[in-house]
Amino acid sequence: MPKLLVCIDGSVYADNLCTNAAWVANQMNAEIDLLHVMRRSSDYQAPTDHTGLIGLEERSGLLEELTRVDEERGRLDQRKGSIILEHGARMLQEAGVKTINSLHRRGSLVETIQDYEDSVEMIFMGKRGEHANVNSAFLGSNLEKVARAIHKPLFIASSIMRPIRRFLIAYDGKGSVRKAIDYITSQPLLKNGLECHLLVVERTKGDIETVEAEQQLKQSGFQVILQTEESPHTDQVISSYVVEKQIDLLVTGAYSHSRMRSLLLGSTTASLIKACKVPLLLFR
Amino acid sequence: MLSLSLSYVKRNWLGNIRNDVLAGIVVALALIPEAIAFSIIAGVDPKVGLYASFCMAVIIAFVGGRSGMISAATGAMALVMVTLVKEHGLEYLLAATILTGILQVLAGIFRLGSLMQFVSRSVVTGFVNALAILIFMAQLPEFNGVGIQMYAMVALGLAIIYILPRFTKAVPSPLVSILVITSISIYWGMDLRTVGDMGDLPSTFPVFLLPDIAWNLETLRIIFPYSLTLMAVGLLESLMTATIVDDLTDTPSNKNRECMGQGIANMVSGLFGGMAGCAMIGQSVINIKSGGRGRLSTLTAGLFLLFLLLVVGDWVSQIPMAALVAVMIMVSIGTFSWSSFKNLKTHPKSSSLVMITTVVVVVLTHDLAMGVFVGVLTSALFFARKVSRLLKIESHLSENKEQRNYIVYGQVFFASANTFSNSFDFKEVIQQVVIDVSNAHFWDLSAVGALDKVVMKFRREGTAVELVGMNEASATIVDRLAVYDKPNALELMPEH
Repeated sequence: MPKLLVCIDGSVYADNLCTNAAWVANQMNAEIDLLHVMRRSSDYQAPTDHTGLIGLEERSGLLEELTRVDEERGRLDQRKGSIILEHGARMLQEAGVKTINSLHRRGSLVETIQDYEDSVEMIFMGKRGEHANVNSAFLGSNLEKVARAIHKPLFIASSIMRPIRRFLIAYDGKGSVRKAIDYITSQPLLKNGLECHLLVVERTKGDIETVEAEQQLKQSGFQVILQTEESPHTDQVISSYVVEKQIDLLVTGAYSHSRMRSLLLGSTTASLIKACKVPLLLFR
Repeated sequence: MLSLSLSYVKRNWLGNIRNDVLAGIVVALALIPEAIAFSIIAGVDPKVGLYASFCMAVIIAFVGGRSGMISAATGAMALVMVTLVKEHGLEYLLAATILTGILQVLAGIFRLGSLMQFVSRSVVTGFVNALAILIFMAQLPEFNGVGIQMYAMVALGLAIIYILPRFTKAVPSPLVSILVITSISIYWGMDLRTVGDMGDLPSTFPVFLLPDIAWNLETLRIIFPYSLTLMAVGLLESLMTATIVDDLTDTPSNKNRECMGQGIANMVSGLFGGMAGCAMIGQSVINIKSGGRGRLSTLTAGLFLLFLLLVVGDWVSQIPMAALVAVMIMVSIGTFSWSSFKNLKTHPKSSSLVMITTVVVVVLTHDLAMGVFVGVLTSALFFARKVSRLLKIESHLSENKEQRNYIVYGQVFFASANTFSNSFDFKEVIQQVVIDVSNAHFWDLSAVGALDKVVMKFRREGTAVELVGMNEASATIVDRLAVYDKPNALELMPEH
């Protein structure tokens, strides 16, 4: 049985994430590992004291105090994490997922996900973490780190939640999106009569070869609606297409540029994630 | 790789900017009096210690293995270099500092940091206590031939340091103490010795300069022993401090990288006219307490220190020694582990003895490395003695009274070899002896020799010996070393 790794915290995306994950689990007949990662005590601000005084037994005294603060916070975090996990598990269960394993871990989110990556088929995350502002123009700091670190498909839940009927493949002819098409055609994930849109945004006409991809999708029984556009602003074209055609899920390849290049030029993937309000399925 | 290094930068440098900067400033303010005081202990101009503190703090921020740890000119290192400075002068100290750095880098390359595991907790406590005592003792000469004014000012300084934090935790109380004492002394024109009387203060950026010495073997012969001790003391205190910071922040550190980092920092320090330094327990604790966690705190401390010196350098020379002495007394009181008195009653006698031995040796020799060496040796001996008691030999006679079975349990090694051989009854006239060592461990040549001797002795009495159940650990060492089971055993055995 394939496994999905669903990473939740107390953010507003958590419920949508569970609904999305449950849908995918039912499509693929998968079980779910529900993961909540607690922050390390060293991720928190420690209490500060600027007296510059080294008092009697300062070392043991300070250790005692720091431990006490971490202990209280740790206990609260633990309780909160359990509530988040219980809530998530209940949602998944009600949505018909049969096997749910709750995982409560401490550490860095990226490293924890990497620990579980090999045993799962797909990883689920919200757009932003609970500490980020939902209306912010920026993505959660963890999302981009995870997206770069993992090699499994990454499902990114958004604030819009509706049943998935139409999906769009943003096709650029690169390796990662071809992987996406391989996956879609070989797995049951997006079958069962979903409407398949294939959007190609070219800088100049004839840039990107689409015949093969379209062929592959059609052979697997998808009704493909092909659209070719010409524009230098890939992300804008895609996001307006998504709104216009009421696309419910965007499938795309992720971060094919080097880190340096995306630092300098900005990454299409990141701006896509920001611009599109629908869930995203990213392939590496 | 690049993404790794970006997240590395974020975690180590930019993860805690506000607190790191504030803590760095607090640390820099606390570094000035200490760097000056330690220069005076070493017998060099205050600028030597201050340049060292600046160089070490800035370089360690980049190359150190423990983020948030403060390195600068320290008392432990200053104490080692006293005679070198007295007999050969500053230039030799600078050369020794560079050599210390080279040795520390080598220590890092050869992973000597792992030797720290042999330094027991009692030795560490002894080291820290001895350091506190030495720092305190180094303040005493300041009281020679001075009037009541000096005592009064030191007392006032200490009062401010300890009482002010009860009212506000926003300003560093040692700094306020220094400011108040300096103002009083200037206002009333008191006849107190000042920092300016102790030697030059820095007025420029440190400049790169090779030490002005003869680069020959003779020089090497002079500085090498000092560099060796400096290396050992520096790494010891640095790794000890790293462990303390690890515990306080509940995060790991890279000890071998720290060794190399200390080395690089010392080389740079020596080349820029600074004395050798290492991590500081007190300052690192202050940094953590003030909220400093990242490398930025260390860098800020170094940069702000230099900024202060260049901007307010003239004022620094007006600080009366009384204010400095008060701060250093606080440092020594804060460094001393007062609970070790209480623990004398509850801790095992051997542990207390190791701690006290370390303290006594350091205070007598003024050599921290020697103290630690003796401490480690003593704790090793105590450990050997303890383990040697884990040996038990049972024996019983067979029913037909012709055979005796000896069963050996526990550890046989140099410390227990004698007990082992004395546990057999050679006077008993018996045909056959079976020695069952399946529950024993034979650790070394002494153990093997003892077993050989026992077997030989029985054979000479005409008793047949059978050895059973050599377990794997014993079997390997016995196979390689023992003589009893070889055909010419008697010839190979000495003194038989």
